[in-house]
Amino acid sequence: MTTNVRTIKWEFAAKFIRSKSAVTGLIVVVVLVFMAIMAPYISPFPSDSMDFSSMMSPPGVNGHLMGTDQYGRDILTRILYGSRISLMVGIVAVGIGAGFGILLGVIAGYFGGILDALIMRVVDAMLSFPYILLAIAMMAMLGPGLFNAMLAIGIVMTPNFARIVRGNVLSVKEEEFIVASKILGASNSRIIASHILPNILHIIIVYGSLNFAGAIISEATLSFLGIGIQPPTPSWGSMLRDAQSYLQVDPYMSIFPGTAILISSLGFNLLGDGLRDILDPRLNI
Amino acid sequence: MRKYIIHRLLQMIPTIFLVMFIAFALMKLIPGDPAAVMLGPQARAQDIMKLDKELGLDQPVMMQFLIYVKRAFSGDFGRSIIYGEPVFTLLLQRFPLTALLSVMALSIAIIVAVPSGILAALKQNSFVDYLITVFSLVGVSTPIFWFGLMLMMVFSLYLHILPSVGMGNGTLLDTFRHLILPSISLALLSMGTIARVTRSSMLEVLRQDYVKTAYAKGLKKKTIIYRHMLKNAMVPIITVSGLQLGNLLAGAVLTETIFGLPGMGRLMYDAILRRDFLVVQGGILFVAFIYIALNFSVDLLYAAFNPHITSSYKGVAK
Repeated sequence: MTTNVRTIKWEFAAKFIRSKSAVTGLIVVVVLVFMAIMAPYISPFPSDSMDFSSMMSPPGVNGHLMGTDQYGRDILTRILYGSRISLMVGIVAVGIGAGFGILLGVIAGYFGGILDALIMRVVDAMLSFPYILLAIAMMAMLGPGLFNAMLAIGIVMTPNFARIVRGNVLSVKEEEFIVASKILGASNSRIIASHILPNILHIIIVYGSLNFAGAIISEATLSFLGIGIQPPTPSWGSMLRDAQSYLQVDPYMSIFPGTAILISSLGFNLLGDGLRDILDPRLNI
Repeated sequence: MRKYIIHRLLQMIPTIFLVMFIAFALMKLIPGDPAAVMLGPQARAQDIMKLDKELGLDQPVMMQFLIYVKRAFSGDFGRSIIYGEPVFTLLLQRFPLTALLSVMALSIAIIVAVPSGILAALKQNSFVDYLITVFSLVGVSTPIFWFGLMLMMVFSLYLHILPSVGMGNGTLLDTFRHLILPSISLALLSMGTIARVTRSSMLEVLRQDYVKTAYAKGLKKKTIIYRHMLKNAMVPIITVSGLQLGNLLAGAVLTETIFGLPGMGRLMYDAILRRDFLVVQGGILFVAFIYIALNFSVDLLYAAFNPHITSSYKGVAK
């Protein structure tokens, strides 16, 4: 049994290394995590120090590698600190979305009946709202802030997770080994914990990674609209909000934070895409 | 077919009520008394009480929801605090521009994405396929508001080819010119998704027996691609495109904000910043209803193309 598991692990590692998208994605994610953890140590300037001698300077002036913004704050430093916000929002929002989504999806798929009908109607209703618009409306009501943003993005992710989990629980449920353990008298909670969940785990990982990318863009969108992370906290979206007014005077203010968002979400998308191809190429998400 | 339509309509009823409930519940997220928040800190107590009454907030919650549903069905989404006009009227005034923008964006997305998807599928695992796949992933990963800003920077501020903001002098040609950049940036939202769906549904069709037969018969490659493959691959492509239109309406909040276009998205953005909650609530419900209607039409189209779906609704005898 142990050798079996080991071969599967090796096989996975071998496939992973051969997948260009998975490796590229993983590299981006690792760099991003490194940036977020090390921000205070590798930033060239203190987090919100203002350099009044060089405001809105182009890259390279006075040691500002990516230039400065309208208050003379170092853009590279703000991008490094901004990665913390993006990662935190991604982790918490995907955690909320996956957590509630798994709970609802398993209940609906495993127990079926009236509970299933009820949950799926609510899921359908939530999916009738375009994803980002629902998050925007929730933030408009809740008011801005990091916690509210994570909550709103997590909640709008939930129905998608629920639907995907439900669909896969429905097909796993019919497998013979589950029918067998039912006959052997295993309780529902035992079947769910030791048979159902491990068999849908790969789907949750793939979908989680793809949604992580979505969460990064959503946070940036909310902050760009001024209803997400509030200044002076550096977030890539709010940096772009500032940059918008200086598009002609200082293009670098908008080029760098936007590129940071693009590369990070591309990284998670590549990782998710690569993992899907490795784990289950037939997966249609 | 008729039975199927009736069945789908009945299925929509609970969804519509739940959608209205979500829109209604949104107002409950406001910390404190919505009327007080809307009117601002300088509001007089009697004004707040008056608005409370107008919104039905002095009633029990269940009653409030029933009042909301009743009003919403008669097109009464409340009154805007900023404009002093009914929300529904405002939405209807602004909707045509947003619809035009979304349709233009969808057309651009389809024109670029469908041929790319077909090409990628026909040359599966080649360099071209790889390139198209990477591009569609980049498209999905790009925040459209940033893409819009970059387009504006390059084409308006540096090259001076296209206007950056506003609607221009009102002539048809000028309006069109002002909508080019916004619709391209909005199109990016759907391009990647449509390209990926086109690719995978073409790959699916590629393996079908009738395509092999067509090749064996010695038909021309062009004929096979257009007459046999694309015709069958079209169904998922139409489905995803139809559903994307709903997302594009939502994405218009961003593009209209950046490019200063007076559409529904801009209306909602202003309402968010100025705490005009009823406009936000009405706007999101309006978009959700359009989305449900789109979904319904796509399903009908799907059923019309695919007799398997409707056949289960036909009587056993016939």
